[in-house]
Amino acid sequence: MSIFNKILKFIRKRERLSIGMQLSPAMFWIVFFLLIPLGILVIYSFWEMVGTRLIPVWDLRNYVDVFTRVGGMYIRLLVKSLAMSALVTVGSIALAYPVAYFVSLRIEKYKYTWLILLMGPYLVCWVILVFGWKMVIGYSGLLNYLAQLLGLISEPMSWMWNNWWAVVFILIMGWAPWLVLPMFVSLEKIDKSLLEAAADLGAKPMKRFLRITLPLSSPGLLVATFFVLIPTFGEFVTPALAGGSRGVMYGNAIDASFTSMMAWPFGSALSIFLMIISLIVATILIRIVGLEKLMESL
Amino acid sequence: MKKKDVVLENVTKKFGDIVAVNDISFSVKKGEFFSLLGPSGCGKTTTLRMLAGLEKPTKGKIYIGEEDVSEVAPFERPCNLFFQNVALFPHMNVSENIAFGLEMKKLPKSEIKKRVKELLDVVGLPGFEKRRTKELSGGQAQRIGVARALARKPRVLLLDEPLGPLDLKLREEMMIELKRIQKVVGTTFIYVTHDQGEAITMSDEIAVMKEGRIIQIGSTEGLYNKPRTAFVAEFIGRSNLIRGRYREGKVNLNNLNKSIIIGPHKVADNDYVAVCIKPERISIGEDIANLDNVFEAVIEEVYFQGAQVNYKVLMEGNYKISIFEHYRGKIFEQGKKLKIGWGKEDVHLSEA
Repeated sequence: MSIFNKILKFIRKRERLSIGMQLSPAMFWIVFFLLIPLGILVIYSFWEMVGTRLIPVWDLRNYVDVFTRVGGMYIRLLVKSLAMSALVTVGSIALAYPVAYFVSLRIEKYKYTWLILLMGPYLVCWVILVFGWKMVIGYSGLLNYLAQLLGLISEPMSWMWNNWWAVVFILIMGWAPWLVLPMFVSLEKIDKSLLEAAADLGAKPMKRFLRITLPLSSPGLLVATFFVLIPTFGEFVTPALAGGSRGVMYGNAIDASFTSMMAWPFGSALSIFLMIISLIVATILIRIVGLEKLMESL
Repeated sequence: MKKKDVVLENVTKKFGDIVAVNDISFSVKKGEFFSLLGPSGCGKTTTLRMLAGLEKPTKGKIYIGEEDVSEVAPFERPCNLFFQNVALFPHMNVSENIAFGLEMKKLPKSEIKKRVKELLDVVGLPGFEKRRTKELSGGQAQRIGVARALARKPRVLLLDEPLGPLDLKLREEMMIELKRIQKVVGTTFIYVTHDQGEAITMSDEIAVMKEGRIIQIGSTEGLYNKPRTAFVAEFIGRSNLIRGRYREGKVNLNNLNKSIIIGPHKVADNDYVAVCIKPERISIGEDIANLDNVFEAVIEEVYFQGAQVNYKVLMEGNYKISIFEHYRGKIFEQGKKLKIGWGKEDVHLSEA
């Protein structure tokens, strides 16, 4: 018996080890790319940084700072970011749901072609997407140009760029096509005979939508909420590019702590705080739908 | 004469070039259990969907009650549909499901509650109000489906192969149950099925369909005993069909230089016909000379079923014949040569 066979036999005898071996690539991934960096972050959050040196002081000063620094600015930023993500979520769902509804229930041929076309914007990277919008709504963008050309305004409008709503707008535009997918899936899963049954029982189109289609597609809506709310909460690219000073989000504060401010421990504390809030939000969402339903609709 | 509840006049439905329903007309009396019977693709479901308003007829008129409903939307028709897959709303419990149609009518809550209770009693599931649809067994879901469809007191209940997904035992139970419910509520039922057993057990009248046309309409007994064509004969119950040409009260057989005496008949001489003889009308034995038609036969297969013995015999002329005989303590063995016979009143002539 070769050595190889001996090893195999040894592993087979120990079922747990065998399962562990099979999981090991995934485990490796999680440990090295998630748990260890996260651990370092947690450790740093209890340290102090002087100049470029990290000093292990092991106290909670960074967490206290999150609440007190610059007169509680960071907490206000956190609330603002949460509000902005909520707005982005609502906006992108409002934009995507009718599209998903239309593709699922009205289009009969080439459904999937339409869906793939919707994914078109993702062939370009996010940064280009943002700058693309800058060319439309920016200070010297298309809209301003056209408005001036038509004589509607004499000076370019500056309110469309470099503020929080430009960030929200671009995020909505970026997310909406993505959201069509989960909502399409949950709409597709609705047995069409349920709608016929509702019609047969006297429900007019609006009633059918409100009583049957909407409740049965709600898992898709919640998946969509999940998709958008959590990542947007920590968003920092879009505000950095399109938000200016008025469009700053919490993610930019974390970014700044690790770069210009050279305050890694404080940045770590900010990050951990963000994670905790995200976890709470996620838990609430899961509680509302139930994990089982959420998984079903993925 | 009872009032006509449903009338179809020269109804045709085309899907593109395909003619699903081809110029059919029939009427259903009030309170009747009427079945549309036929193999898949015969247009029976399309007919039902046109009655429900889910499809529009290409040509022809449909009346429910006195009203021409050809242009009436599904939710305004005085009929309800019981769906093939029951289609209970999964996000609602039993009483919410049954109440749905009543809420659409904007009935007061107390009345809805009363009606739901009443319906659950009718379908034999009292106290099921708060059950979730997932917790129902197949048969229970079917009954709730019937209750939901009956909630709005439709003039006509349309049923589309409702018993298809059930296993045999449950199906037999539900057949009896459906018939009982229909008698209790007195609603006209129009029932679509490909299963002749279901149609025969429950129906007052059956329309046999094939390739978009109605081949024959009649009472179950009428269809069973007097099938108009060989197709109907083979579809309803079991029949022995012997093909030949009619001439002066006799049918000269194709395979055999003999004839079957059938007595005078309204068939033109020299027409090709199928002689239809039901298995239970054939006598089998060694000495049956007193019958009009007697042939030599060899027993090929014997199935003892308790009260009844089924024989498959090979008649002279190479005709395979099924015979059902009451068991009277005697079984003929396989391979035995004997005689089979029947009287001229036991046969029926169908179109070949």
